[in-house]
Amino acid sequence: MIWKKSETDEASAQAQSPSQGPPAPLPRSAPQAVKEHALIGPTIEIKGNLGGDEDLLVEGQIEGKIELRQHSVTIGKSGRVRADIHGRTIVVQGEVHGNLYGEEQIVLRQTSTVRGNLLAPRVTLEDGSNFKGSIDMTAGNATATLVSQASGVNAKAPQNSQLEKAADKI
Amino acid sequence: MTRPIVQDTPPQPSVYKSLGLSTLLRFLRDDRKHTILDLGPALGANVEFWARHQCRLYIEDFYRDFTARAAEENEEEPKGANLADLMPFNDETSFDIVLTWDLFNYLNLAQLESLVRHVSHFCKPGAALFALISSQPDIPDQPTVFRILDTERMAYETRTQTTRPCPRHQPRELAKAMGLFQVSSSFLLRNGIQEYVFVRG
Repeated sequence: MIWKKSETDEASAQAQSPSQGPPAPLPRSAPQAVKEHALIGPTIEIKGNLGGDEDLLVEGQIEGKIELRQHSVTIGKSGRVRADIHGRTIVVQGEVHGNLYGEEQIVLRQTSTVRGNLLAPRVTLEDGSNFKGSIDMTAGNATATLVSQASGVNAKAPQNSQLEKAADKI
Repeated sequence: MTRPIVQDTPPQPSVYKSLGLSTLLRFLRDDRKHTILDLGPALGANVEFWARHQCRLYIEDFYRDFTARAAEENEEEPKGANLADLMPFNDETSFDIVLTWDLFNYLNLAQLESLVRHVSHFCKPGAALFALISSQPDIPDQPTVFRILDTERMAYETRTQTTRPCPRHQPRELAKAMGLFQVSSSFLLRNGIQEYVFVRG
């Protein structure tokens, strides 16, 4: 099943922990940061195209295409994906065979295995990640640059049209 | 065969001034996009460095696949003819710079020749190849990790404390195995390693 997981649910669960006493009431003016994401559990296998309007965490297996250009896509440690992935931010901790297109950023964690090409204004690559493929650092008219984990310096993002133009070249 | 090194402390990264790197960077021009082939593993520092230039970076982590292939074939080392299969580039790919680091110290001459022949196919005349060749009797059991710190300095780090005999490729043998690539510059470092910049003729 695909589970909905809400960050505010987790936050309120922690707040109601008996060890911390009765929960303090939230001020009315406090922003209610509800950020839901869909979870594809470790026993789920999907073949086909995946799209939607929310963030996604994949711990299962997907074969096909993932298209969530305005949302973050996270491939968890047990996630196994054979697909091109389009997302706003893409974080990989598990295994991906396919090209990654990040509107804002791609992050390859130390535990990741990736075979494919990366295209994004910013790419964070942790040492130890098993990556084989290409990284396009120009994205069209060279407005985009790329950073590693060490620097943490932000780069100027390319326009979408530039990103798509560069993506076509891959 | 591997031989243990007696060490009291784990190996630490060492920093050195790389004249080879400085020479290599002269091949980059501001007015065009470059394509770099890095045969080493994916390292954040190196990705960051090349990001400052207009380039597309291919990371191949060749030695990992090389040893994995050998394990599959149940041989000590994969055959030279199979090395091209490990890097199936499409015909439109053309590299301006190839970074082999110290990989050649882990290949025999036949393997080296096969690898260079394959890479040459995807390099135009004028492309540069960077290599570090050891003349020491022993080398670490696995390739050294090199991180580019800036345009003049690199840090290197060995990830194993065991050693293996170095093939100690002689300049004449090396020149023959390099085929279309000819020595443009070479710099002997204090630790007995020689930095080479080859250029494809």
